[in-house]
Amino acid sequence: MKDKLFRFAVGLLRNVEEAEDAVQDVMVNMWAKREQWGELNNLAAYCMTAVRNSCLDRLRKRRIVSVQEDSASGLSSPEKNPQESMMDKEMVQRIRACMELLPANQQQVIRLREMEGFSYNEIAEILGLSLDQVKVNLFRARTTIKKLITKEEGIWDPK
Amino acid sequence: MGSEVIKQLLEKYWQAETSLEEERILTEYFRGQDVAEELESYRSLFDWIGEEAALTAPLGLQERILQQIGTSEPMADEKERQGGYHLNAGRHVERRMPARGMRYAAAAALLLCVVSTFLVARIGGRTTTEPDPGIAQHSGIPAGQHPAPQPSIKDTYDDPEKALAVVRQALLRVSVSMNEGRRITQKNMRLMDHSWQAAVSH
Repeated sequence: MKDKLFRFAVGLLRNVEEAEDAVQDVMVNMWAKREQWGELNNLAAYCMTAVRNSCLDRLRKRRIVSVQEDSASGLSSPEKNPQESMMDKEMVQRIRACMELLPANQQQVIRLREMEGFSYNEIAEILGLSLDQVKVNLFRARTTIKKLITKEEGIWDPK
Repeated sequence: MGSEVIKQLLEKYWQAETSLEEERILTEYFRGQDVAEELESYRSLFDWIGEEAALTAPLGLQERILQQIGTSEPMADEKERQGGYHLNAGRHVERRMPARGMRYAAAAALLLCVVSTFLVARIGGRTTTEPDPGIAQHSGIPAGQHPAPQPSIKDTYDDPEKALAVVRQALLRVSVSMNEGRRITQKNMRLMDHSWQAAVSH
């Protein structure tokens, strides 16, 4: 379970140390609330939601710090050109880079589904989305990856 | 599995209509050796998923979590430390559960003491009246010929069946309390064991 939480946190924060801290906070907090575990329908989904919330808090704080640093130094954060980041890499790396450019909801949905094997209902619960929104986000994320593969490789595609 | 079936599953996959089981079939197919040439490039998608899913939390994370929740003691033994995190997590649960059970056992023991004291006080209160000369006189035993006072139930209740009933009732109360404590403890142990194992371990 901690690996699932950790992967999800890394996916959101893109930083191993911060992801570890987020998971640690959530698990310690969960232990403190252990008397309430029996009231939870899905402990795993609850933990994932808690990690997501913790990560979003950290991202918000990071953004505040980032804005302060930027205004102090007068530098803007360097944006990677999506095309550049995909050049000269293997397809797996291209997919990974492509994933990072997807909207946050699509990234989270595809990670929870592909890597963690959560059901559509569980993903909806974790992310606070409707079932339709989960499927739409998954559809869009997979379509983007499919286009990337078929475009690059010129392979079988019935569409 | 034939590539036609896989193509159909892939179509469902792109439409986000596959079940987890169907996605597992796709994953197994693309990680296998018999991928059709026309589908070969889709292998990279499942390679990517596999690589991402293989990422695990750093080894020190679980230890830090366990230390923070105040369970560093079970891990003091270096040999046990090498025994793996699952073992430590299990030990952790085992160490805390009896502590919780002890609370109920202690409560039951305390209850037993209170009930016993109550009974002895009642019995003692009644037996101290026994040397009363009035009673001796009434019973026809000459003064100075009383047998040594023996604080027994025989002296407290005239009817042995009533005495037995009172003792049975007291013991039943203690027994019910202890069973209730045990039931709650077992219920919590099962719940916490399963949940915490699932949460801390993989």
